[in-house]
Amino acid sequence: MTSAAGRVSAGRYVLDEVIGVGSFATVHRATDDRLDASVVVKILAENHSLNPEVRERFIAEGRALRRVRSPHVVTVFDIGESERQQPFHVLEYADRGTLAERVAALRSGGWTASRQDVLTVARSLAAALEAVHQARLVHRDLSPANVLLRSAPPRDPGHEDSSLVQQDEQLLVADLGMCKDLALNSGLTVAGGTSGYRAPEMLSGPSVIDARADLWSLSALLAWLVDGADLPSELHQALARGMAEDPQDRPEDVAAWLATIEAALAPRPSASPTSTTAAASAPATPTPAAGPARARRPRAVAAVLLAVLLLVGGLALGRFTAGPPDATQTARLAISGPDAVAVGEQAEFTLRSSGVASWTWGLPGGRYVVDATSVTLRPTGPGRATVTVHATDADGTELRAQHRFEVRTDEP
Amino acid sequence: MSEARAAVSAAVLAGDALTSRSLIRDATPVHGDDLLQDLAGLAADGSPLATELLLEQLDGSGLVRRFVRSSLLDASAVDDVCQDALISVASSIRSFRGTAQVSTWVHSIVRRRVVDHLRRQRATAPLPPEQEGPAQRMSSMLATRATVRDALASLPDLYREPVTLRDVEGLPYAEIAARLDRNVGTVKAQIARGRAMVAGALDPSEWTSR
Repeated sequence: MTSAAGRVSAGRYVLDEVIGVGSFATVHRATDDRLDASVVVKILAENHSLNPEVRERFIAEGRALRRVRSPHVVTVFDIGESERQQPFHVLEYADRGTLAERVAALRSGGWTASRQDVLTVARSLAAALEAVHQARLVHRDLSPANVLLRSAPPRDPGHEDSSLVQQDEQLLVADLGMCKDLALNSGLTVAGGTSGYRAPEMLSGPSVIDARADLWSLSALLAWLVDGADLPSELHQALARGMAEDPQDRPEDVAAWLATIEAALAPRPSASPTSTTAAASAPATPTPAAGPARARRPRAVAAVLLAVLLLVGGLALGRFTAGPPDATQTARLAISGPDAVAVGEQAEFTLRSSGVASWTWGLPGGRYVVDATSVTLRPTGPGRATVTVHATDADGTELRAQHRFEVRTDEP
Repeated sequence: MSEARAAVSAAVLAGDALTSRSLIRDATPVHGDDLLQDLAGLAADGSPLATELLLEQLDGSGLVRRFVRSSLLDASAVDDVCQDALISVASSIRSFRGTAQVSTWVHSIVRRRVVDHLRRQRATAPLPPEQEGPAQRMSSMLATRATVRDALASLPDLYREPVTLRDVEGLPYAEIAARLDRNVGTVKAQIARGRAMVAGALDPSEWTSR
């Protein structure tokens, strides 16, 4: 394990300083010898490496994390085993530290969270958890120390006003909480999750823990973030709902949770004429599309046609020209999808975009979906409805694309 | 018990290997767990054919390999421990109780073989014989002991030939494959299963006495 230079190594990875120690694993900053890159190596403690159950959990965590694809979730590059039979994960290195450190540093200078800070954190973490939940996992250990910052090409909507997450930074979530799993399954008495960010149902023994445990932690994290800030009372109400004792009383999923936060922080004069029509077709169920792997080619022509139609329609109606544009010098948004849908029929809307890295769908019924390339709706009542995509280009200019459609009852 | 399961059990009890295999092959995947349960129960009651079919199912379905892969990463370690686990299953099938879930029982055996393997790996000194893996021990017993050769002789041809070529004549896998005109993967699997069957056929005192 010790190389000639006296440095500890695990395979091709030369371990540098220890950046975290848990009860099961030690986290090192490390160098990938072959690719000459900084990585993080999380290595299972030697005494646990002979325990097959702990090994199974640890290896399963690495394989599970590999299934999660999101720019806001730490990437697994590899799993391996040291000469002492200690399995290890090789993870992406986040070069700008943790959210906990960042906030502590800012607070010592008198900072309190702005509306934009909260939105940036909420949207990033919502995108991360949505990806985690789509892989049928529950994070279980979301806390300020598990949210990392890394440098990234300038992107993400709304960073222009955030002093918390710089223009050239991105938030990402690390460490799917394996401690909880381990404690549950091997009878070890280590409490899972991080104190203060652990949902009530995780405190008392094994119980059914679903994705809503993460909503609790997410709300607790935001509550910590907004401590001392002057923000609307609606936000505190939304966070209190996310931290409801009974999981049934929390929003049903991440998208619903984000909708409550977005609504609480929306600029006050919000009663626009279009919002009333959007509400008319209300309860519809958006489901983010399974993935980008669907055939895109055949749709390209239709999408271009639709974009032209939308443009013409927009000019004619005049309404579409109000609000932010759907294109700037560097970015462009367009939504393709049906103009008319029958009640109960499934309708898919697809975003074609360039120059934006992250976006938010606003759907009928006040629901939000982050970063999905397409969404599927099943309208439950007749009327007119609108799907909207909001994003910000690299210069911080806001963009918005809308697609209106009619929902008809099922007769010809 | 469904008709399909009853038919398999009847064929196994009648000692009809051909019919048993074809019924198992045609069984719907829905019955997979139930079939394993039936075979393990019959094997525990002393049916050599049930043991043989159980081993084929555990190995062929990849169940044993999946369990091993969940805690070991190195490919050759996975191969070794799969063999060890099959042998342990065969040699301790008599202690299987029908009340247990076969997969749970097999998983616990795999975990023990994984721990043994890790301990062996961790020890740097050359291994005393009692610390060899079951597959290694079975291999050397086959080569040297008369009683074991008797057990070997009772194996179906499909397994006896490759095991004999490997453990008695000491040929490499590739050459055995060439001689028998089978591919190497098949030959490896047959040797693993064949060794396990020999272990299962032996008196437990013979197996543990070394």
